[in-house]
Amino acid sequence: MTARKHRRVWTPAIAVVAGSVIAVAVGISQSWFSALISELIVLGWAVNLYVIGGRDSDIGAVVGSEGDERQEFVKLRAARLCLAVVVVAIVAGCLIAAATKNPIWPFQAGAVLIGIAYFYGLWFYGTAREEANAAAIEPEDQRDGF
Amino acid sequence: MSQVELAAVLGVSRQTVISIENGRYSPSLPLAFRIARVFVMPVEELFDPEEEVTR
Repeated sequence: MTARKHRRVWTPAIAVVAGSVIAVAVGISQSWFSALISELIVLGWAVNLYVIGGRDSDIGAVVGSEGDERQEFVKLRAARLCLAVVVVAIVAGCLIAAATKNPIWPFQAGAVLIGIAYFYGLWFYGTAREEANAAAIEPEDQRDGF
Repeated sequence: MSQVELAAVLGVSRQTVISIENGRYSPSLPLAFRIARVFVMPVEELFDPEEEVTR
């Protein structure tokens, strides 16, 4: 199998691993029949992702982990939209849970994690990376001086 | 040179070549220089910095 095909497998593989973990959790807490149904849906979705990843399109390139610079930019914008939807869903879920007198902590935990990830991303992709690059370049400059 | 051939030479997708041709995407500096090298033209003749990208 070539490296290109390996890249195409990544997204479906992650979906299978994450979906299988959820299926096992469903099996332990509810029933193994529900877990089996859940796993079948996950496997179907993973096959779908693999097929989409082979298409000659922007979606195919992004899903197949072969995007060029423009497709990576498209992917970032899609991720931003996705995050906005997740935040709205968390707020809505929190409101519904509170109104129905259910625990709201899972939604709060999700919101806190997203907030931490956001500020970590700002720091990591902003100053931290620039400082690391500057530190990596500095010894070369010193070598040039000798 | 076809769009597919140009995409292969530049190491980008056919869709990206089409987007650049249609003015929907401004390439990065490295890609712009690669395009200029392929067409043996200065970058500033190929891309107008004042031109707005239509999304």
